[in-house]
Formats: sequence, structure tokens, C-alpha cells
Amino acid sequence: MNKLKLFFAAIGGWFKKTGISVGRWFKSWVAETDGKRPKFVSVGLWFKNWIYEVDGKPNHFVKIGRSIKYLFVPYGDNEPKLKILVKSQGFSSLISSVAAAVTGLIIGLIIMLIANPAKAFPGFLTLLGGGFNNGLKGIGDVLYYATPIMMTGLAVGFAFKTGLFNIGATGQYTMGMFGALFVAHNLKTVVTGDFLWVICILSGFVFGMAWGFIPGIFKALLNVNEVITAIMTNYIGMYLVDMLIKNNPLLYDSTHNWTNYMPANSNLPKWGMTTLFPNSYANAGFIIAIGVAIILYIILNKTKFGYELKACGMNKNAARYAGISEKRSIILAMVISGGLAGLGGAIAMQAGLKGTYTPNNTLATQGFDGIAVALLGTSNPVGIIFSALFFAHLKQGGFFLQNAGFKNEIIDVIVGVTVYFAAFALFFKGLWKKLIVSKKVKAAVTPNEPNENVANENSVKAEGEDK
Amino acid sequence: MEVFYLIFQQTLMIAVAIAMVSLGGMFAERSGVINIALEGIMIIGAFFGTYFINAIQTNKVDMDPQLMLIVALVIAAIAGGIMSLLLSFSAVNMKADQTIGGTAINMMAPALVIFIARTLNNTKNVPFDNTFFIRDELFLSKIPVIGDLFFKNTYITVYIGIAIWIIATIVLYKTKFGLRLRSCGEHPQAADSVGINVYKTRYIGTLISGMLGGLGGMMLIAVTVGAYSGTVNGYGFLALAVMIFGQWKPIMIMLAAIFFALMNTISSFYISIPFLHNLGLPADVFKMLPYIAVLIVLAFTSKKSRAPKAEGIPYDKGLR
Repeated sequence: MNKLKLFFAAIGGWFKKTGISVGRWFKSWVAETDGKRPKFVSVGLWFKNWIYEVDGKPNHFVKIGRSIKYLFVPYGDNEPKLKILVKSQGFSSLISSVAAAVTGLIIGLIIMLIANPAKAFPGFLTLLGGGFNNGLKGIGDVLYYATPIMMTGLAVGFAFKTGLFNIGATGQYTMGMFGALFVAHNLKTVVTGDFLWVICILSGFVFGMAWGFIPGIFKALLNVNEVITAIMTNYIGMYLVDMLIKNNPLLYDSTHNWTNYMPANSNLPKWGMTTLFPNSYANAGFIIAIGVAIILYIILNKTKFGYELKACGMNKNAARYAGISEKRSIILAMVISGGLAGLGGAIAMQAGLKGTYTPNNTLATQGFDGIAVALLGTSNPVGIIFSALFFAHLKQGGFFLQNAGFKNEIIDVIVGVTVYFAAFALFFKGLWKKLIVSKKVKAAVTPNEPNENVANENSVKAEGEDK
Repeated sequence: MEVFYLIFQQTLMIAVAIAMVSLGGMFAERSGVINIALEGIMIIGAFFGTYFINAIQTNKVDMDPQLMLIVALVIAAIAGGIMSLLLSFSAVNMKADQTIGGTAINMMAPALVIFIARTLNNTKNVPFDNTFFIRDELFLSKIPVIGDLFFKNTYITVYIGIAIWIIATIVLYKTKFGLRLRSCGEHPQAADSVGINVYKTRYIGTLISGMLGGLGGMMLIAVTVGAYSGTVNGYGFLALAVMIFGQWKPIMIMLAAIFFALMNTISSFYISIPFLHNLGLPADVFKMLPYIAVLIVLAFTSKKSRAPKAEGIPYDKGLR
């Protein structure tokens, strides 16, 4: 009884706290709070700042000009910004990803040369051309194909950031597809409005979350390696979905051995994508995926929740010592990751191309592609957007490659090789540091600047320890 | 009784194949390398093995079927071993994340296999005739019960597998190499300090792992299907679960493999078992069975898990 009272008191307290802070936020727009100007005034000043000096600060154009200047010119004691950027952690990640992708492509070229030397080079160019082989429609199609693997990539990458390897994205993706399918067919007579797609997408998210929960709880409470359980849930999910579909006449079209097509009002809207890329399959899914990536970036980098998750991923003992519940973090991370993969499945199902699922006991490949996408994007939501586009571009290239007389499995080989080399990130980063940073150290050894030399060496050491 | 014999024989041949792969996983993990690439290694091994049989049969080379199978197994083992070098290079030399390196091999292997098959034959299937099935040829099959259980409706792979299992147990526990291998998986720094070459031992451990993985893949395909289509249905991962269930010990691994093989046999033969057939459950329920069994078993055994302490951690001499 006492516990119940405490529970309600906690809820009450939360509402009170939130209410007060929301109230203060509204007030801060019109009145001075915490010694800061009212927000309306600040906004006005910001606009004014474009032309006039405010608070002694020069106007925005001058600031922008300066920041461009300092990209190349040293600012006080600091090095030029561009140099700092080149030496930064993020840039070396980018370099290592590019190196992995290039190596993958080169090995792909070698395999093509072995398989068919005469056609290898034109074929390789077709492959590199990717979606551009087909003009604007091709680009739109690349966006369409990139969307599901971007979502599974975000799912896997989010889990990586929290120290978990979610190899179960395939099962969660399948579950998301089933969620959208199941809800759409059950509600199509009830909900006739155009907003059915929202419900379907959300149900895909929820189904994916449920499937991500299993490895999460196994890892958190029973300490079972999430890789094995996730793989098992992949197969269980696939067989389960096949079974549920085959035994449900509402969903199953037994003459074709696939499900009935998604009802028209459950398909995603276009949001202008077909105007931009005429005749292509592109749809709102891509924009939703970009939005999700941005939200994830904010959660991971700007919120306390994201910080806790990352802390658990980096060192769970330290996180526990700091008062973070690592079990809660593991379960939440897996659930969110599963939800993202499920969302990807729902988006793929609702893309508007007579969405259907064929229950023939095969695993969805998008989940495994998501691993590749996440690794190449170094688990960074922004990096994942680009690596998903890269892989989708390659897949489109593989589609055109078939006309050039090659089997399009070569794409999967290239993807695999790329992942293999993406695992060498440490090596590539080390190489990059050797090439760029150590050169700086040598250059800095000039008789009149002994101090800088020492400082540089220290910074090299510090970066080395980061590894 | 006929049904019982059928299930027993079927279980044994699948159990031996799974046990080979699990033993492979064991050798790698005991040396300190997580070999999640077993699935891919099985795929590669099975492909080259079946391709050899296919080549012999289509060219009508006169070769004893049992000998042909044995050569195919050797080829599969070599192919698996070569594939595993990719993993040991990334895990030992490059100190990369072993799970990622393994996943890359798992992604590469089926694509490579299907690419080769389709480039050579225009189809991803590699068909072969099952001429090496031993129905009732062995004279030992005359022994009343044991003959029925072990020497009828079987494959030579069962005997090879059991022999390898015994050898593996002896190597792990009774030889200098086995001791060194185990020490590298438990405490590589200590092993290095007494003069054991950790890198070399891990390379050898992973190589053995790859060879057993390829061998197991070929065994599995030889006893289950008549045409290889570039997949082993997640048995590589199942074998890893078997290894965990078997607590990284050869004898326990064999028992665990038999348990999972039984689950698998039930899932494929439930129609001929009246009791299960009468339940009227959909086929997919039985197909799920081995995987659900893994989950349940892991839930119960994980608390007292005795995994090698240094598995998954790249060995860095500088940290000694």
C-alpha cells in the first residue's frame, strides 16, 4: 500500500515539476527570467543583427566572412579550423569509411576481372553509375531503396552506440512488415480516412519494439549474449510471421502464395517526392527516415537519456558506479533499436507498390544490409544516411549490371568486403594519423618554436590513447 | 520401432554435423577468438564440397562413392580453413572487432558462393546424386539392436565425425598444444610470459575452427539435401548456441548437439510421428522448434556460463 502511495506521489511530483518548467518556458518569452532577455526580444535582436551591430558584436555577414577566413588562416594561437577538422576524430572516421568502401569496390573489380575480363571495366562503370544510369527516376529509386536499409542501419547503429550488437534487425524488420500488414488489413474497413498509414507505421514500430525486447531482456536479466538470441529471434520471427499469414485468410492470397496487397489508403503519401523525381518510387518514407535520423542524433548527443545509454555502452561498470541502471539501458536500447527496424519494415511495406509479403521461409536481407550500413556510417546517424545512400546506389548499379552480363550477387560480395574492411577502422585511422598528424610534428620541429613541438607531441599522444 | 530407428539414425547424422561445427567454435573460442563466422565458413565449405561431387558426377568419373564423399569433406575442410584465415587476419593482426569481422564473412560467403555458382552454371543450385547413402551394406548391421541404430541407413560422415570428436577431446585435454590453446583463451598475457606465441596459437585455433566448420557444413548438406543452394539455414549460429550450451567442453557439446539434432529431426519428420502429426499444428511451428529450444536452453544455462575469459579481446603485447 505504501509503495502504491509513493508511486502516485512520484507521478504527482513529476506532473508538478513538468508543469512548472513548462510555465516558466512560456513566461520566458515575454518576461525577463534568470536575468536573460525575454525570448521575443532576443529573436528581434537576432534579425536586427543581420544589418546592425548588437551588444558590440558585428553583424552576421561579417561573422560568416570571418569564420570562412579562419578555416584557412590561423586564429590567434589556434590552428586554422580546416586543419583542426582534418585532424579530428570524426574526419578520420570518415576517411576510414571511405577507405573501406574503396577497398570493397577494388576487390569487386578484381572479381569482375576474373569472371569476365572483357566486360569488367564497362560493367564496373555501370556499377559506379548506380542510380544515375536512369536519370531522375534512377535517383528517386535510389532514395526509395535507401529508406529501409537506412532504418535498419539506424537501428543497428543505435544499438552499437549503446554497446549492443543488434544482429536481430532482420527479425524486427519482418515483424514491422507484419505489423503494418496486419493492422492495415484489419482496419481497412473501419478506418477509411487517409491517415491509416500513420496507424500502420506506428504499429510496425510497436511490433518491432516487441521483437527487440526479447534479446534485450535476455541480455539484461539473464546475461545471454544478445548476438545469439537475436539470431534465434530472426528465425523465430520469420517462421512465426509466415505461419500467422498462411493461417489468416484475411491476409493470405493462397493462389499466388503472397499476402493481399496493402489497402490504398495505408500507403505512404508522396510529400512532393514524385514531383522532384518523376515516375520514381520515391515517397514520404525517405523524409521520415531522415527525420528519424535527426531525432536520433539529438537523443544520442544532446539528451541525458542518450548520454546514459552511451555511457553504458562505453563502460558499464563506470556507468553503474555513476548511478545509471545498466539493465534498464540495455532493455530500452534494444527496444528502441527493434522499433526502428520495425519502422523500416512498415515503411517498406507501405511504399505504395502493391505492398505484399511472400511467406516462403526466407530471412529479409534488409536487416543484414543494415549492419553494413551502420558499420560504414560508423554508427553516426548522419553517417548512416550517407552510407545507406551509397549501398542503395550500388544496388541500383547491380540492377543495371545484370544487363551488362554480370550476376548482381557481386554487389553483396562488395558489401561484405566493405564491412570486412570497415572493421579495420582502427588500422585506417592509425594510418591516417601517421600520414597527417606525424607530418605536422616533423614540420613543427623548427628551432624558434620549441614549445609548439612539445604541445603537438602531447596532442598526438592523447589522441593515440583515445584508441 | 521403425519410426524410432529412423529418428535415431537421422538425429545422429545431424548431431555429428552440428557437433563438428560446435567443436570448431570451441577451438576458436578456447584460443580467444569469437568465431561468429562459422555460418559463412560452413557455406563456403559445403559449396566447394558439393561442387566437387557435382563435377565428378557430371563428368561421369568412375570413383567409389564413399571415397568421393571423403575427398569432398577434405576439400570442404580446406576451403573452410582458408576462409577462416580472413577472420584470424582481422582478429589477430588487425585487432578488429571479432564479431564484425565474422559478420562480414557471413555476408560475403553466401554472396560469393551464389555468384560463383551462377557465373559457372547460371543457377544458384549445385545438384548432386546421393550415391553415398549406406542402406544395409555393412556386415555390422546384422547385430540385433546396435546394428539397427548405428549401422543402417547412415552415412560415413557419422563415423568420421565421431572419430574427429574423440581426437578433438584428446587434443584439447591431453596434449601440450591443447593446454597452450586453453591458456591463450583464459589469460593470454600469462601465456605469453611463459613463451607461448599467442598470435600463432590463435591463428591455429581459428584455422582448426574453420576446417571443422567447413567439414561440418559439407556433412550437413550431404546428409540433408540433394542440391546445395548457398545456405545452411542458420546452423552455424545454432552450432554456436550448442557450444554455449555445451559449456565449451567437447563431451557436453556432443550431448547438446544430439539434443538440438533431435529437435531438428522432429521438425522435419513430425509427419511420420503419429503423436505429433495428430496435434494438427502448422509446419512452421515445428520449424521454429530448434530455435525456440536454443532460447529456452540459453535462458537456463547462461547464469553459470563458463566462457573462456579472454574471448573476444584482441591480444595486445603492449598491455602485458
